[in-house]
Amino acid sequence: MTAPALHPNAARMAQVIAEFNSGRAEAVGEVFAEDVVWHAAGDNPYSGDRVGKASAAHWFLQMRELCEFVVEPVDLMGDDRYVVFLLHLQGTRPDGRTLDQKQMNAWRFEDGLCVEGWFLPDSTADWDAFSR
Amino acid sequence: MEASGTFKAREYLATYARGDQDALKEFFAEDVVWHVGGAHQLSGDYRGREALFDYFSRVRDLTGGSLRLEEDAVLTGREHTAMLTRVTGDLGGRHLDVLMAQTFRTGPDGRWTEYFAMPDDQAAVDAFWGAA
Repeated sequence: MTAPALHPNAARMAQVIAEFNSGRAEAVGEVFAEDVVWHAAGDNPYSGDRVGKASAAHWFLQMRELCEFVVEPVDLMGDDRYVVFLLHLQGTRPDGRTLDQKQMNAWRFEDGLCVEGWFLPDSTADWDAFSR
Repeated sequence: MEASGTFKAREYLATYARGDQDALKEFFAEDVVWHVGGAHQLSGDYRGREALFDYFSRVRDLTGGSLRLEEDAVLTGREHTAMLTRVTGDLGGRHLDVLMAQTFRTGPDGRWTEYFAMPDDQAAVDAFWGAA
């Protein structure tokens, strides 16, 4: 199957993801609209809605502080309205708890900025057990 | 022009809505693996097309055919197609209404080989289907 060219929104997210993974976590905030709403699935201290650019960007900084994740991009796809990032995430917390699962991030765009996003783990129970 | 993966996904949604089981089978590889997350009576991995269609049959029986997938977006990546869908249905007086991000991995012959679904509210999905 021929790989389609990345949509500009997906290409932008590819760059943001690469910068985040290389340690510049604030890169994520630069793609958020001022009134973005970030929905994080699960029942743990990081789940729920983060409303506004600063709050949503802070969520990503918290992820950085949780542990040193190994992020393996699986696929990235986008159009004028959405970007979906499918990834394989692995991590070990200082107390020895481990995570090894697929996740999806979905980003809804308007005028080139993300106005709404969803953090969706393959197993919410595993994510809750890891992140509590 | 619409990417082939996007076109196929929209054909799939239309075929699913029609309930044409024979036509639906053509979308999947013989050895497809269908992952159903969560902690409910249908959770688990369904391996092979026969097991998958037994699962589809159970879904239809349990919901009286009320489960509906309404497309919000269909995106095609390097080897996956993602659908963002609003999933609604009724079962024993319970109503389901969640956002479901679904990904289909495409094999060399164009048929789907692996599936993951990640809802924005796994607890609601678990409550809808009931205990394992």
